[in-house]
Amino acid sequence: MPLSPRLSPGDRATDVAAADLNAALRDPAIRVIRVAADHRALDDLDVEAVTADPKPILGAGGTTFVHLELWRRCGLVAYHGDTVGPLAPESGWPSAETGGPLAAESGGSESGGSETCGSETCGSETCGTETGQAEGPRATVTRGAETWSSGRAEGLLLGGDLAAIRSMIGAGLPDLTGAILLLTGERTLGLGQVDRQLTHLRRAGILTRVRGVALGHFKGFNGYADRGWTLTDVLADHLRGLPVPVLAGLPVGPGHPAVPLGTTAVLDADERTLKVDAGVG
Amino acid sequence: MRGTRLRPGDRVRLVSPASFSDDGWVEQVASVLRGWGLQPETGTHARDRHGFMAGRDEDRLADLNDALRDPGVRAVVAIRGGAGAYRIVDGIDFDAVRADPKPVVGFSDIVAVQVALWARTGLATLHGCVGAGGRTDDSARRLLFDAEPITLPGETVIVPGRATGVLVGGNAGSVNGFVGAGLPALAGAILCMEGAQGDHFDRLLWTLRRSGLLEGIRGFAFGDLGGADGGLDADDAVAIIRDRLGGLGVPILGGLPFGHVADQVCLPLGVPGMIDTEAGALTAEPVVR
Repeated sequence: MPLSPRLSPGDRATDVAAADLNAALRDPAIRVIRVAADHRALDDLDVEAVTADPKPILGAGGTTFVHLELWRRCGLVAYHGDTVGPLAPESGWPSAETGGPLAAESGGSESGGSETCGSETCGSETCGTETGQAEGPRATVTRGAETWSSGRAEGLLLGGDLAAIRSMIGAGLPDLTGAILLLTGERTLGLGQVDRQLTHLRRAGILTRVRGVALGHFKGFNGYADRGWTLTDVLADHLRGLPVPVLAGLPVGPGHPAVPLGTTAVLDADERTLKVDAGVG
Repeated sequence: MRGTRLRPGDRVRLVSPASFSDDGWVEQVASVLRGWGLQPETGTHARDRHGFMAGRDEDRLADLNDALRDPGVRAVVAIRGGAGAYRIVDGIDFDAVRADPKPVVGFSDIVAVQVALWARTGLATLHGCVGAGGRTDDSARRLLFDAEPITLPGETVIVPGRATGVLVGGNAGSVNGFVGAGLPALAGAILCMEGAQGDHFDRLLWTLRRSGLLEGIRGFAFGDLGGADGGLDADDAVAIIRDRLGGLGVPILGGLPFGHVADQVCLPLGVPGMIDTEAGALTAEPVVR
């Protein structure tokens, strides 16, 4: 059972320096943390403070290290992305830009309700379910750009920054069996680096254990080519042939509104939608 | 497990398991080998191009396996590194290697092949290249023909001491790609690493440390820490190494001339070796018998 942070109307997100992450986790006045962390945050992460007072931690890139570690050690739902909004308030997600009020209304947090967000009511933006807040999880639907592998899958949405996931293989990566794997990224070295990262995932058996792959934003690759190949060539080379649904071009990841990881999601590659249950109670 | 020493007249196969090279470099590598009295021959797909790689995975792999299987080929030389060798390592014909071990020469991305060969068969390989001239070619020729040990000087004492163990590793990023994906426990080994890639270096060591694979390790030997893709200040690198690995209580020697440095010295891997910080030296047993 995932550990869902609780929010109240008026809660504000606080930008926290990576070095101050533990202090923010212990501070009862801080209700939502936005942090740009990396692997070093795991050297002395205060997991007890998280279990005592779970709160949303937002971030993309290296913050995925923190997200994956806390998922493995205490099941905390993560928030992968850089901005808090503009998400539908009824989704239960933090709904305003950093520093703004979180207009989240506390609603039912039990899982198991059936979602009713029809794709015809969702544009290319996100939207919430229209059923009563008291019953069933609220959800948000995000639309992808391209179907790379057909099918529909349901499972926990897990993952985040590819470089961080890759760096935790064999070194504390949570079990991703049965998950819908979210992959986002940022360019550091070039296409070879992304190819190495994806190969590492494949050779570690991760790509055959997940139920689906949701591809979000890879920052810094716009217009980037190496000997005729682009990022899309590298990603497609690894992921297009997978026997599970693969949806590319989701507006998720660096520079995008945060999505919860660790809650149930439905990836419908044919409808090009990713529906994610709310991560807060 | 070692191959046999080369003799004049031996056939040597040039392959491109990772990226492609321009024809001038291929000819230069071949020409140096011919100068040693060897018969270099180029793999069928060694000049192919596919994105940043020298041909499709199946073709690069076929070239590598052809070279490993051909009883007349007495050494395999990777023309260059780049990217892509890591993609084909699980398809290597390890039975052929066990049946007829022969030295495989390369570094950087080729370390993926060398780590796989060591992990699966215990094959000794040669970290380095042919064709760059200077002491790189001198050391390659001596190590392949003479079956003698070699000593590399290293002046940076990070943790003092002396240790013996099997030399394992090479390019830090390539080693990292095997964590949780085929890298055995490194008990009894001396891990040799180079190619720090700036900001990534601390994360590479962090991953290795957290993996638990370093338990029982005997020591570390560091080569070039600038990396092919962006430098890291030498003092910063030493601080990172000390911080991440110092607590293991084993000797760590740096500043060794292997890897992405001008005039690198070739280094046998998969063989017994020794680091001695007082002598400022890394010694490796012969790569061939």
